[in-house]
Amino acid sequence: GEVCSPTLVSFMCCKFQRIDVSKQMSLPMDIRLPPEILKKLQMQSPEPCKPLSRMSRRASLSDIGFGKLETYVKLGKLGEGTYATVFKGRSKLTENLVALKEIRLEHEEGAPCTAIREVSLLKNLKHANIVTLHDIIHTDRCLTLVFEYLDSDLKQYLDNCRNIMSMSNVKVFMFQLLRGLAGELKLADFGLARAKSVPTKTYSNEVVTLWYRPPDVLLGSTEYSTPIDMWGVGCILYEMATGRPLFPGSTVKEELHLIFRLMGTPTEETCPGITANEEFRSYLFPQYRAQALINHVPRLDTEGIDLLTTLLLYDTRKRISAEASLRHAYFLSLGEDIHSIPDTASVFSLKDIQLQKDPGHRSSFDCFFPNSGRGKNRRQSVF
Amino acid sequence: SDGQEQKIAEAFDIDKDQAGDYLMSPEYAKDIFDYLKHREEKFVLTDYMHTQPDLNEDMRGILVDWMVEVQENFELNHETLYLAVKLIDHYLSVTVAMRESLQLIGSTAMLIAAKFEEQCPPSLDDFLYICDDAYKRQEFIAMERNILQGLKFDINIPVPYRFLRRYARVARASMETLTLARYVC
Repeated sequence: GEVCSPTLVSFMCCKFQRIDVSKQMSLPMDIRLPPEILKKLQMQSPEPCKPLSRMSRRASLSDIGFGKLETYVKLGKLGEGTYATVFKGRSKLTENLVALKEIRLEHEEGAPCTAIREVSLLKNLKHANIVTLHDIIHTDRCLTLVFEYLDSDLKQYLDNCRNIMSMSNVKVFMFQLLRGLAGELKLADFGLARAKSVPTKTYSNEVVTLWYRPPDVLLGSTEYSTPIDMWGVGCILYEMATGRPLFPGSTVKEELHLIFRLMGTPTEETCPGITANEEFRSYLFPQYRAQALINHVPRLDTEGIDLLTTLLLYDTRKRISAEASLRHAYFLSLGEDIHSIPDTASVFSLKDIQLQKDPGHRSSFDCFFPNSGRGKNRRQSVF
Repeated sequence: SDGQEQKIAEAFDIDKDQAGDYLMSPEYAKDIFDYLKHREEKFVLTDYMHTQPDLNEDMRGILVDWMVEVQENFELNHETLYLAVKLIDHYLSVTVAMRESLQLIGSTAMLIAAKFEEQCPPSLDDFLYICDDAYKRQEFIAMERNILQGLKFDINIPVPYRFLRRYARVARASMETLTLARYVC
């Protein structure tokens, strides 16, 4: 088929990843500066050939505008979360588009712990499937994180192809998502390796929205752990393959009901400990039997169905991990080389990995149905 | 994960006891400690005290003793205390400070370390109280910003205690030995 340019490389911001010092992004070091700024930098340095010392480098980077709010022009709101608002913006330094994540600072408590953790961990990350942090602006009212701007997120992408994605693209995107997550999970575990004191409540409240929440969290588990993300990944695989969200519940009860109706009401066998869970018992759900997933995702092949099934297991100990899923038979067709590309390189650096034209892609549709407005606002996913 | 790491003989695999306990994440333990070791080299301290006109080693000692009391008072993890001390030393390596602000630096470092490490960090009110209202809320918030900016938010600093905990597990050392070993690190 026709090959599209690989623009949609990074997904949602998978957050943390294990890093090597060699890959460490000393914040603005790897930013491509326009020639006139480089010239200015060299003029300020007494000996142009001598590498700048840390101190003078920091001073000059601030002179040219890093760490300053004036350096960025706000263009419009992209989204709003519980603790931050994200704007589209442009850097006056590089003329590049950026995403500005504004974290409001509480006057009572100073910087929120989520922000401190996010910034200190993200600062050290560089991975082709994790959104890059370019700059940090810290004023007394606001902490603004400057990220690379992504042309399109998954929701826009799905809208754009009228929810009919090429199944080969679904596979490539899944692989990218898991690649980003395989890294994230390692660092999320950082906290966990220490002891039993895991930063939990804030995590589970803010990280996973209702549609992508696993039953263990919906039923009151406040432990943020790696299997939580993998349930959400399963939901995303379904959503890409069908164009519809998997469990679009609007309340916890409805969410659980949708899950149990498809996956079967959990039993002691599928979900050890469930019969003792007071919350579960209080809902008095009917005894649904698990349905065959293949009837709901007919476009997904056998291996894909198998991956989806292991992502959507109730038992968190049996749910597949990001690393194990990268080795799942579903991805065999992507070849062996995909496992040895460096973290910082995109999967599209391999010549065999290319995006196909999506069957529902807007431009091809528009020739036939120019004013149909199909696909617009038909879905409301939270990607 | 990267294919080049060596396999650990089963008899020496201290993480296998915790297989299945996802809160301990045994499958990632080795990677995490490799990473921490690697990262530790980035945070080598130099003797900064001679660059501080108004401070000396004794004052630092008094400050750390007081921070130990704060840790006990708030029942914080040892890692939090160790990280706070690291934050102070790295901050004082890049900023000149007067002795009047030393306690503010120490308690703000404790606040930042607690926000990073603890499940339920103490509130700023608690810190105002243990400083006997010597500093105002706004001073704390401003110092938090100074420290974070001075360290460029790079505050995930490996601390010796984390390694000690793990080595004690490898050696199957008792709690007494582990506690005694803290005096060496």
